[in-house]
Amino acid sequence: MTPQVALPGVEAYREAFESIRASLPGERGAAFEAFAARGFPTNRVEAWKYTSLRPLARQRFQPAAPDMEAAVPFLGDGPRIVLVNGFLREDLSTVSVERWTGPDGMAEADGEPLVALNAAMAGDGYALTVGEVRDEPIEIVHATVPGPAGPVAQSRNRITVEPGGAAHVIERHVGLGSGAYFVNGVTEIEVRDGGRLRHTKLQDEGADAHHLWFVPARLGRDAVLESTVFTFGARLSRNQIEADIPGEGAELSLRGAYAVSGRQLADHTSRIEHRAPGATSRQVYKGAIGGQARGVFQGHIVVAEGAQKTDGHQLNRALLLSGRAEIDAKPVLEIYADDVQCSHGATAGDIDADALFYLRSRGIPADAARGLLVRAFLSEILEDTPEGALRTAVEERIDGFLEAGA
Amino acid sequence: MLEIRDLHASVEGQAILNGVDLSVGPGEVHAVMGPNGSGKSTLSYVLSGREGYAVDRGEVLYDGRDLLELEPEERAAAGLFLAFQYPVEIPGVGTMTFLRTALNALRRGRGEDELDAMQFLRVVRQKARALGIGDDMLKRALNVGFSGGEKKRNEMLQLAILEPRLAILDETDSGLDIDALKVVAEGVNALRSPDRAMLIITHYQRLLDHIVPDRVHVLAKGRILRSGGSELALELEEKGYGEIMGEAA
Amino acid sequence: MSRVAAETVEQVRSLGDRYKYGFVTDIESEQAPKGLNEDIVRFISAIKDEPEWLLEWRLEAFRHWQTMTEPNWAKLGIPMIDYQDAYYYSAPKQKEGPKSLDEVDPELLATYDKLGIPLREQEMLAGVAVDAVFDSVSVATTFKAKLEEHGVIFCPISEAVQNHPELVRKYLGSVVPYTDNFFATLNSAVFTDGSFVFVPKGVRCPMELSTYFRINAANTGQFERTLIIAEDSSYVSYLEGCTAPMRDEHQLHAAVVELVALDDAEIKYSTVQNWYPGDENGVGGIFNFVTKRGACIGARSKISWTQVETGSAITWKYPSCMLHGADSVGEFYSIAITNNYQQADTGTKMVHMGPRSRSRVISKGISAGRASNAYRGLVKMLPGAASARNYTQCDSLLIGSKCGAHTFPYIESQNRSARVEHEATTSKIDDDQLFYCRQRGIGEEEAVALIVNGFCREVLQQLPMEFAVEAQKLVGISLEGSVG
Repeated sequence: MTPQVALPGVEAYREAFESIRASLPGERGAAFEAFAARGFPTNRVEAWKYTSLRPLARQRFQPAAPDMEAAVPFLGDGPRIVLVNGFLREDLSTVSVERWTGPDGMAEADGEPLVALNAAMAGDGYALTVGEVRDEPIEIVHATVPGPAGPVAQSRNRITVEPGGAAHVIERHVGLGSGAYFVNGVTEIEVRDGGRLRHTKLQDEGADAHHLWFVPARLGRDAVLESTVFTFGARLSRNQIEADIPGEGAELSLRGAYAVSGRQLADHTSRIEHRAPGATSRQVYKGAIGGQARGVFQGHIVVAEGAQKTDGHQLNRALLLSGRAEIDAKPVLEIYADDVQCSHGATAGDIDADALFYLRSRGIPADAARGLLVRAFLSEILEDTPEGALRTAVEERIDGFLEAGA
Repeated sequence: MLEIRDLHASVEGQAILNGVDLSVGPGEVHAVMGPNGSGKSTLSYVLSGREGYAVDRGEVLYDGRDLLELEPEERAAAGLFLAFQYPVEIPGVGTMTFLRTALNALRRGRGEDELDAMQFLRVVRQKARALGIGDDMLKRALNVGFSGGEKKRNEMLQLAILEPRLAILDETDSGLDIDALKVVAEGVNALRSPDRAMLIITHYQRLLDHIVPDRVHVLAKGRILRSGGSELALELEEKGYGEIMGEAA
Repeated sequence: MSRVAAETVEQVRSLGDRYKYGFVTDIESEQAPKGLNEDIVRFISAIKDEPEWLLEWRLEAFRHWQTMTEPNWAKLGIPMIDYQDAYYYSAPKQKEGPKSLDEVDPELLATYDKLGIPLREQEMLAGVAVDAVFDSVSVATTFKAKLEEHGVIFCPISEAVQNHPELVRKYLGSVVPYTDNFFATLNSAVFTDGSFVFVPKGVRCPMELSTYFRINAANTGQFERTLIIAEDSSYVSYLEGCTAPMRDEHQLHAAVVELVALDDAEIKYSTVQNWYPGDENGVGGIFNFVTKRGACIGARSKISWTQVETGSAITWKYPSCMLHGADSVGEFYSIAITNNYQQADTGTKMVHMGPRSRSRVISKGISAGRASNAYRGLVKMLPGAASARNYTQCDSLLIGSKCGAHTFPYIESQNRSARVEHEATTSKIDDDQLFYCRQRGIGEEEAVALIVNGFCREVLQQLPMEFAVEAQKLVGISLEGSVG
């Protein structure tokens, strides 16, 4: 299918694609055409109703260069994997992993045009396999160096937890310096029968960045995946997780906390497909939205026929901290089995006036009281993050958000 | 009236009853006592026909009919009543609506005319008063927001209204203080009659101070280990289950 | 279990008998030629002797409709509709409009008797004013004189066009413009009749107003249009009931209802929709694609929608409130029951524009057999909706493992002081509750009806008394054959 008129942005990306095509492993033409046929989604596409990529389509980006000099900051001295501009840097990493070698994974089946663009243009990525119980968290840093050409960094990564394996993986996304750039990445997660993975994402991109990250996940029998995302950076960001649960008795927990201000847009989209009986999913997303920022939450639980005894719950709560802040939420339940317990809840509004008054009546100034309540509101998501560098990093970002007068 | 012969039953593949024999005649009150996990509640659910309780062997005759063939509502229509250990809450369904639906279903089954709203109200008011149940409780949704004692009294009210021929009281005394226990016991005693049998399932002896049984059976490990007169309950209270089970083993 | 299973099979087989409104009235009717074009629009307008402006409005709508495509966003599998294969006008043959019930064709009165709406009795006893719409036209409106004493206008909309053109012209299309959506636009072009209500300033309408809609003729669409205007400080409660005969073909019902509430006015609109749902194999039944919207124009005005949707093969319906006025209130109470192959996609839109406006949404969806039931709703807080409030509760109940229940809420808030709360749950009918009822001697089907009625209670309570009893029975009937 070739459209009569090229969709916005498509031709520029075609040029860029052709310029690097020869250097990419694997055959990518079909993936690019899959992107070109649909282009950047706008709010006419239901799944992108609240996050239009039209402005992004109009910006010009060049494929990011590999082998950039980069001073990458780390959370600690533990094992780490480093990618700069979407390229795996063995010179900066301490864990040896395989490289991604071409489109063949879970994400290919998906209809998202941005995932197709990633499949066409991604040049590198890590493939981490966990076969044993690893006590020390593994830190993975995705750093991008902004440049005059507005680089686009697209990596394709994969985490596999084998039966009996367990790990905590922390993925951090940072920009090195100021300026515009575009990150369009994929991390595939597969937790096989009985495996356990804790996955924490800290999105701390630069102020002018666009960050789109797609996480297809699959859970085997009795597998456990606990995924937490903290979103603070980027002009526009979307964290999209699509979890497929074909394994009986699997447990999935998705949590997110975000604090955005200025003209930021933070989109958290999830889709969970329960295909086997007796699995559990829990979702809690909480956001503090200031300035003229917008928060978007789309949560979709599907319970397929036969997935009896499914227990699926989702909760989305948003604090609107300014007169021009906005939240759009779409929590969907789609259920084809009868013996299930599913629910969703959503709230939106300002800080509770009674709580604020109570604190002020005890002598706490209004600003401090608001800060206290916003911290308390977001802290639920931080609950199971132990004291340490990760927790400190998140708390500092929340403090920064409050100090900037969100 | 009730003949249980070599009853074996299991839940999710796990054997709970391992050959229960029990015979209850008209007008008799029998107590089945036993420690936790002995199969007391399973017995009451098997008799009332709850799904998920598989009968693996044996038979239960009720007035000579095969009880196990019947659907739960057919057993109720035949006069079997189970007072639940944990009465179920049904939001939105008024207590009165429920009672009337149940009573009229039974009356229809017996070929009697259904009661109209006024006749029904008279019956309920009179029986409720005897159990210390006020109109406010009757106006609420069935068991919703009821205290433990209120739920048990509501079970007794249903027992009084539906007038079954065989009443099974499953741990009716649990969660009751001594005053409530007396009210409940009086209600039960008032219903004793030559053509009505009762099976009282209980862990403790205290209910039997107020409702004196004709026979007492000790159920443990899914079988009746001992049977005797009402004095057996006192003996149990004194010695505990351990000794009796030891003796029988 | 085996005996009950056999009974259930028997019940499923006899399901055809349970839709007791499925008879056809043998009455001569006058129909426009099949199909849809400008001439048909002109024909409908001419037969109703409409003024030029209304014909123009219809034609504009028709031309606009030709540029539109059918929506496919709702979660429904829809067989293609051939819009040229239907009659757009069908009226029972009568010399002229009846002046009183004595002039109404006795066949028609008998029909309404059979439907449980004896028009004469309603007039004599019930104190409910009824407008009965048969296929495309209104056949009788009762209690007119008494209402006129209070200044309340309650008549077929075609009559209002003749007698109160200024009101119709001012408000028709003011809430649902003819460009609104595919089915509303089609309705604007070809609407044939419907009810018109005007309650003047300060008047509390002395009785419930009610319309019964009946589709009788084969292959006809019914496109009624209802317009209710409540002036300052007035109150009106309006009831709507619907039935249709059993036919193997699908029939289209695409109504538009517009409500306008001015300062301190209150409109309560209740619907019991029991159109023919099709048989147990999904053959036949009404396609019910309805646009209902109320505008709370005035300060402190209130519009409350209550609906019990048990019929129709397919229902698309989102009674909505545009809350313009400060302190205005919108409510939506809904029960939607689907069984066999029925599909329902229903919900509401609450659009908050006025400060301190409040809305409350209570939706109960019950799905059985192979049916599909979806709630789709929008709560929108615009920047002007300071301190506005919304509370939404959507509960779904599933009976059987082949049905589906879905919830698609959209929540958009652009005002920090506005507060939105949304909750939704999905679960199956509780085994413990069912067993408890059965232990007390209540049969399985009756027990299900009892529990479902309890589940729906919060909504049933909103209905006027006479309707509540009927609706309660309907809940039981709709679920027959769903257990076993």
